[in-house]
Parts: sequence; C-alpha cells; structure tokens
Amino acid sequence: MKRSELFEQHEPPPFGLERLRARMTEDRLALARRLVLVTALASGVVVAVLARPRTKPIELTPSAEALLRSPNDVEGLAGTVVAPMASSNPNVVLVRVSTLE
Amino acid sequence: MGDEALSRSAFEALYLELEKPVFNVVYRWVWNAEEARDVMHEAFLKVWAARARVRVETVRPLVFKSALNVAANRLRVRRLRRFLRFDSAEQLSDGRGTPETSLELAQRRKAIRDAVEALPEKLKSVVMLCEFSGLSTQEIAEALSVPPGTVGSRRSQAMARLETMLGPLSEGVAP
Repeated sequence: MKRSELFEQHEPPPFGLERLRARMTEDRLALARRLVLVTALASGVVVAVLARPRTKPIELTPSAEALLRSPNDVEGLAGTVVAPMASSNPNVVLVRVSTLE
Repeated sequence: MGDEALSRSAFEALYLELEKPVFNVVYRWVWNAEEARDVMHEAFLKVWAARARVRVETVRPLVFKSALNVAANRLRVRRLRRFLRFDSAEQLSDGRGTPETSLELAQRRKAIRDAVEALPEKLKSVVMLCEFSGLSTQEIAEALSVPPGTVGSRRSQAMARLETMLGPLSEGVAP
C-alpha cells in the first residue's frame, strides 16, 4: 500500500471560516441569554424571599390574656406562690410557680 | 509573533492556516467530514474563549491538543450512545462511498480505517500529528504533554503496527 493512500489528505468542507464566525456570534448570544436568565432567576429568588408572608403573632383571647397578666388571681392552690417575672417580649408572660408540699 | 494577546484577525488567520491540518487529524477520529469540521470548530472556539491565557507562540500545539480532546470526547459519547442503542454504526458514514466508488477502493479505505482505529490512542495521536499537523517534534511533544523522545518512539511503534495490518508501505502517490 502507498503511504500517501494511508495518509490521504482530505479537503475540509467549504465555508469553514464563515461557519466558525457564525458560531462565535451564536456563542456570544448564548452567553448573553444565559446571563439574562441567571440574573432574572436570582432576582426572582430575592423578590420571593423578601415578599414572603411573615408569621403573624398568636393573638390571645382577652380572657386568656387577662389570666396570664394577673397570675395572682389563680385560685384553689393553697400553699402555692405565683410571682410574675419580667419578659422582654410583650407576647410572652413569665410566671414563677412555687408550691410547698 | 510576540507575547501579545490573540486578536480576532490573528485568530482567523490561524484558523485559515490550521484548518486543513486540524481537519485531517480530527477526521481520523470521527471519520465524518461534517462532524470533523464541527469538532475542529469546537476546538478553535475553546482556544478563542481562553485567548486571555493563550500565548501566541504556543497556540498551534494548543489548537491540536484541544482538537484531540474534543474528538476523543466525541468518540466516548458516540460509544455510549451506541451502547445505549440511541445510535447505530451506520450513521457514521459521511457519504464518501458513492456508487461510483469502486469496491476495491472502498475495501482499501475500510482496511485503512480499521488499522488506524486499532491503534492505541497514544500511538494514533502521535502518528496523526506527525503526518498532518506540520508541527515540529518539540511542538507535538508539547501538544501531547510527553517528552520529545517519546514522540519518536511512539511514531515508530505506530508505523510498525500499521505495516503489520496493511502490509509494507511504499513511497509514492496513491492511484
């Protein structure tokens, strides 16, 4: 077999440079599209996080609130001392209950 | 050329200079003219994308290195697709075998393709770069990340294997 047959030179298909230029343009557009998509997605996530509904505080019924705010009114607990404690959260009432047994 | 960045015009000039050599190397991996051009373009686009880090004086070996990587990846994907039966071997023909092609010529081409495909990747890369790239031994060694001496020994091994499969090679132009 001839060496030139083994290593036969083929001609590339025509308009190679034109197609390469077109691909370079396509790549730039694809990159721009990807950037826009990523930016839009990130903006959507930020908006969704900021606009999400906040957890509302539990509203106590007036009778429950009155009971909690005046723990000394607890009845029927002979030998029990109920002392209110300071709380930084107005929705949380802390009381110390001490029982002598 | 100095150490300056690769400009668009220099890149296009490089493409025109290396189009045929790169095409002929890559063709021996994919055996399809359209796909070989596609692989070649992908390799050039990778080089263009990395132009800020590319040194002009070493860009030629880099183009071939990139082309060989892309071609090898294509082959892996092709084998996987074939394994998963998404593709068939028949689709790999590029239409070079026209009805006018003689049976004998078709058989010789198939024998050449079988022999080249039977070469281990390392030997095939060396022999194809030596035959088609126009790169020096030093540049081929750079493209393949091997010592220059290895290029010579692998080329000898590759040629010996090809001659074992195809018979003795004679100089001269094919009929």
